[in-house]
Amino acid sequence: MVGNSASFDQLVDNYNIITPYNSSITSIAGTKKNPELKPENTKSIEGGLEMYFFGRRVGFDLAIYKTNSIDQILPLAVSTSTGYTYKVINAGEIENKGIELSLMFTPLKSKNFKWEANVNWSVNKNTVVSLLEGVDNLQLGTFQGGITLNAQVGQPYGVLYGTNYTYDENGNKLVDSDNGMYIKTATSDQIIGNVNPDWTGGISNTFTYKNWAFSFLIDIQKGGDIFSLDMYYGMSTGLYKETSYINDLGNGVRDPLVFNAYDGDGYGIPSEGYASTSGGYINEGVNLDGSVNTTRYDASDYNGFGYAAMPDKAFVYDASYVKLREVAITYSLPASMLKKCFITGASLSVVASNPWIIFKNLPYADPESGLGAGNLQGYTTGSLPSTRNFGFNLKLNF
Amino acid sequence: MKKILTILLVIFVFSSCKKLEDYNKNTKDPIAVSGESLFTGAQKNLFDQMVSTNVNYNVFRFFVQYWTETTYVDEVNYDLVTRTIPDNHWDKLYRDVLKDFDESGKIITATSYLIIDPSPAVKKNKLAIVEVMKVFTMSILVETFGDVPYFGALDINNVLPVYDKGIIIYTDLISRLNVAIADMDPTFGSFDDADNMYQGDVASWIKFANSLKLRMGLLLSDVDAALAQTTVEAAAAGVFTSNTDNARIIYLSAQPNSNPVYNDVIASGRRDFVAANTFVDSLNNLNDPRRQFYFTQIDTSSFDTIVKLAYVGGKYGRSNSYRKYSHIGTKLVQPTFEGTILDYSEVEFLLAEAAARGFNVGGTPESHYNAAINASMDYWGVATADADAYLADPRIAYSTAFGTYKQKIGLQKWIALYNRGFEAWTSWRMLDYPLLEAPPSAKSDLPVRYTYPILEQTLNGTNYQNASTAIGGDNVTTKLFWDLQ
Repeated sequence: MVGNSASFDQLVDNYNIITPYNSSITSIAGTKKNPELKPENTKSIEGGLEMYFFGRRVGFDLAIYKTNSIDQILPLAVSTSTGYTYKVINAGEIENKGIELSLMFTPLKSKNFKWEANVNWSVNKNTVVSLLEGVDNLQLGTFQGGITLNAQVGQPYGVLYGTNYTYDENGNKLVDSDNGMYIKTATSDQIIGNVNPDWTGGISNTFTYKNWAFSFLIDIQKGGDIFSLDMYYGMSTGLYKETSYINDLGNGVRDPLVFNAYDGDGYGIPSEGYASTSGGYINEGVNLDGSVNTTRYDASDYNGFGYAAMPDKAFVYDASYVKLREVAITYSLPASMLKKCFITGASLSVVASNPWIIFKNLPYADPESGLGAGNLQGYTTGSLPSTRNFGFNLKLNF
Repeated sequence: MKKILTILLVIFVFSSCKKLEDYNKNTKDPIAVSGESLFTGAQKNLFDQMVSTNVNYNVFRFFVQYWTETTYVDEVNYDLVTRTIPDNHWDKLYRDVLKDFDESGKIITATSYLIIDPSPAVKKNKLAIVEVMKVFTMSILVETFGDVPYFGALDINNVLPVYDKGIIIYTDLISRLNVAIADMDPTFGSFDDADNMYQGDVASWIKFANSLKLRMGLLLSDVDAALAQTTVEAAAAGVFTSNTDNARIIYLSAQPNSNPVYNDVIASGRRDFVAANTFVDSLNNLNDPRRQFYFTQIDTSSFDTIVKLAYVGGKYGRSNSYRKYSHIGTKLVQPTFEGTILDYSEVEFLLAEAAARGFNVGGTPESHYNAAINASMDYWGVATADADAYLADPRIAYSTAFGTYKQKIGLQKWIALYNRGFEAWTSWRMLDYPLLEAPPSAKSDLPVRYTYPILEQTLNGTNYQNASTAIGGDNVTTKLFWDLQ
């Protein structure tokens, strides 16, 4: 059990001084401080087991942990009709538990050759057990597009809310028969993703032959969702190649809609069908009357795809990946060569970091490139490509 | 040496222990300020929010089709979700305006002014003025959303405030306004320089409060005719009588105190807005002399062989080329252009409507209608002769103009309220005129309210759900309690 007191500036209320406008201006701070904060407590239970068999050729290391933060001090996002954005509170209880498992193998071992392998696997789960009397949502972040990241009491820590598709009772997506657009939910409090991965893992192998060693490390994340603001806007502005293609009628999808019949105001009548020269595309789903949607969506303008055309859910991607994290080749000078030298050991390595994303589902970005600071995961915007590093490493021991 | 160290250590331990808590104090921001400085800030925030044309904060000029957008046509098609516009409007008014006014009132109440100003009347005036501003702000929230947190709002100990019925809030606001008006004594001063609207002139504040009371009373005409009539008739004698009474602040030449329209249209370097065809066509049709101040002329020779210089509006809701359409008039985009939240022309239109409804406000619908149009012409700098000629046009003269009083007043009030997006939207919702159409690509029909903020869904969910059900669904097309006809 570990105690922890409040960090800086959580106790006393203050005001902000604003640029004067003919006369001096102040404003009450957006966070309500709390002079009655109690220290937060952390209760941890951890168990571990490490075992080796067959002359240390096979082994495992298992760790199970559970950490409960009680009275955790945090700024709780509140309705601004209170006059504030945040209120500093002692939150009830937040639980963090998980399992970490490593398996160690040495499948081959001879005088000159050795193969060592290590597999690790871990799963972690955060839950808000209780918060504050009557309050059931700890909002972790708000983002452009009306997306929020939340931790509801009893729910996983890190659930994305936004607008979703609407569905009929058979699970078909509903499409508006007037304009061919998916019908979005009216509110943005729909669960559209969970940013927590199902599990993460890694495999590392080291092959040693005489003075040469070759090693590589593969990292894996299974599951977890990520919202891409880049796709939300990029699809709309036509940045990506998916926004330009030949449609089912053999025409450019960006061509205007050409209807078989028009009404008195010059607007096309979708129910009368389309000419063979029509552009646009058909969103798969059913109309409100239950019939299969045949209304084409007009993609001739900038909002033919992307945020204006789709609910937020359409930009949530699976953040799974398989990455070749590191490859290294090392040559160690034989000890015999260094006998008469003041150097006792020398090795030269060539190392490649992040050389290859073997598999991912998030288009045009690295799934690890989210906002990434603290609690703000599962949302990526304007992400830079992750860098691939190649380096040499000379190690001398004296 | 050892001795010295020990002494130093003792001193260090003592001095640090004594003020351990000081390390947790934020010494950069003050812990006590004057109520006057909070008032100045809240007042400016209120004006900024109502005057702004930033697509994140204020999109009402689009709702009434004064302007339209060039490339990014989301807001003109009523997409309020992408930029969380209702959240921003709500945050500004509750947190940045109401909370600071509220705090200002609390501090002024607790402050002893005896040395500087021995008269309690000045303090009473200040508190009444704070009350008028709070009523004004709250009325905007109710007119935007309908039911909102009120009795339980602005209390951090209640983080899940219940929504109160719009009509109950509105009725309470009117009675608070009555008390505030009675409390103000024009023989004494008030805020002086801390008040950028009237420089503390209490007589002007009484006129403003009465004009607000007129506007609020009239809005209830269809839902509570009796209250509307008593409120309007009591207010009518004390309202604005000329453009010098207008509720406005003068912006300064440099950011952040320059006019928000200048910030968004000129200083940003963006070319996002042009005149909308709906509005410009109406102005052209009536040959309105205010056109030259509202918009710029555009050389149409490159794409139209007949017209050269003309006022041309872009198709509302569609993508428009910036260079092909009239831009916002140069007067409006000056950094020092004033921001207005209530003006004389609007008051005369309200009196015209009140008279047409049979309320006893003195004068006839026609006399107030003419005064309203003349006030608008005067405001923009149109020559009297041009204004007279305009009023003599049988399509404009009250006796011969087309339609009911709602249609006549609705059209002219829409033209006069140019650049006052929110009020124009409320007026259009009340009078249902001029006839506006949603563009074919719109996300919804014409909005008659804002949807509630997304953060109310996620942070105050139960109360949000109850309010949504109570008003008949949280949609932009749900008519509010006063918008019955």
